Amino acid sequence: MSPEELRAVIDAAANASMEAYYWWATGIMVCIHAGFMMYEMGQSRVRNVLASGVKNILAFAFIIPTFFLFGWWLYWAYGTGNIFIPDASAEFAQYYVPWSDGMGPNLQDQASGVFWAAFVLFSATTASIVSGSVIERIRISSWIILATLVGSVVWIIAAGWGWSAGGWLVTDWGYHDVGAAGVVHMISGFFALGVLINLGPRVGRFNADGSANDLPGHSIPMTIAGLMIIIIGFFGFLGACLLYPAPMAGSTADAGWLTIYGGPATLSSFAFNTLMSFAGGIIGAYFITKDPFWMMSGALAGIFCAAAGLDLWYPGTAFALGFLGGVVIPYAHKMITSWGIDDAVGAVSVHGVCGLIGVLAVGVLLGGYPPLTEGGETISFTGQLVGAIAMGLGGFIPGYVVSWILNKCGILRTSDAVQQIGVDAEIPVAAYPENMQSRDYS
Amino acid sequence: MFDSSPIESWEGAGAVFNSAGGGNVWIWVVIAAALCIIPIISAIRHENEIENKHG
Repeated sequence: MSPEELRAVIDAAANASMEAYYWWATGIMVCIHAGFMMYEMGQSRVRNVLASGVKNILAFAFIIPTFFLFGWWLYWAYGTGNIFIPDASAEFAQYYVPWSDGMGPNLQDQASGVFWAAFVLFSATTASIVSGSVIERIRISSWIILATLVGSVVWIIAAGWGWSAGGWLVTDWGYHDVGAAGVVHMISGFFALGVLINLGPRVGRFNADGSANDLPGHSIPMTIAGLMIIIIGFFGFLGACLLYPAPMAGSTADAGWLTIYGGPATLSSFAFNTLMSFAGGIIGAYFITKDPFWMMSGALAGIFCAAAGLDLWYPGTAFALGFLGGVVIPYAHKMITSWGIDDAVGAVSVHGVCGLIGVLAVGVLLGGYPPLTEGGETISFTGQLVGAIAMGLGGFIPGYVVSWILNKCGILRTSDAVQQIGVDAEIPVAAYPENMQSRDYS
Repeated sequence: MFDSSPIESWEGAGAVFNSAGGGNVWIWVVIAAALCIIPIISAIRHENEIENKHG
């Protein structure tokens, strides 16, 4: 076999391995949505169960075609350093317009479809994060618009800024966020906060004196099982945050695993730190609450507190960060509730606050790591702070503005009368045919 | 539309989806966009009917 033939065999094997890796990572990520659906249905009262499920299914379904039509293009058009105006002349932005040869079956391109698919699942995750916070009173039509906005526009622009080797946060500030604590979790958490301000609380959530009533969901076991399934899905999510390119042409060196920024990493580092932060989050939440809802939310919170530096943490540090996340979330949720904001599942706390902790923790504890490119910036607290501000505002402002417009159009919120009988009035089938009754909280 | 193959041989073929490289791809892009928008309008009308019935 000639060197050229050997090279061709190696390339073919590497491409097929890469294709298979992202195919299965994408499949595992579907568990995130199965889990979120169970979680949200469990947290809903009987009269709202199916509306919550339908809302979650539709978010997933609408993000897929809209991400095909413009989301994927946005990522590449914002990944060359632009902040506000997309760079339509960027090489890959031109390649990924929806009518190009790269956006469909192409025998010369084994990468585009599977990378697009992985990003679709990242996108759908951002919508699922927001989804739980607004259950039991948002109208499904408005929800589809907001889900498409966060999943196919907002987060992917943020990913171009801070989750791409050419993004301005990376090249100018050394922003480091390998597991998407900022670009996914902060964006989604703060987007949810913006929406919740305009959406208002569920009927019966707050009393006239401002004190809050608990509106417990109809199935805590379903909620807890859903949260565990989300965790399974996040192994696919975090695995898909790494790249394994074929060896470079003209070189025998194996590039190995790379982060989304092109820096060296190992899947083992993600394994150490994902599991340690997961465990820390559960234990931290148990320490504070003894409540299984917060314990499983703590598992997610723990991972998000460590996500930005999964490639670099000592596992003991990841465990401590996870513990911190588990401790913080019930207090953060209580504080948000005291502002009169009804976040039905604590998404702002778990994703927004813990994403913020994760981004800033990298600045505090991982400063000084060398830049990935010549002339680039090292990791620094200032860079992470700038990134955190960009992610917070980048999520909050579009969520607030668009939900304000939808509210003014009168299509954001289900009326109090329909909430009283249940949002499942919009669904043509019953969740529980045996006429299981819901408590009247009004 | 009915003769949409972009290739005449599999040898060295690249993009093989129907209408690849041709003007007809635009039609499918527009159809896909419309199939996202129309159900949202349908959802708004359905919700308004429920609101009017119970509100």
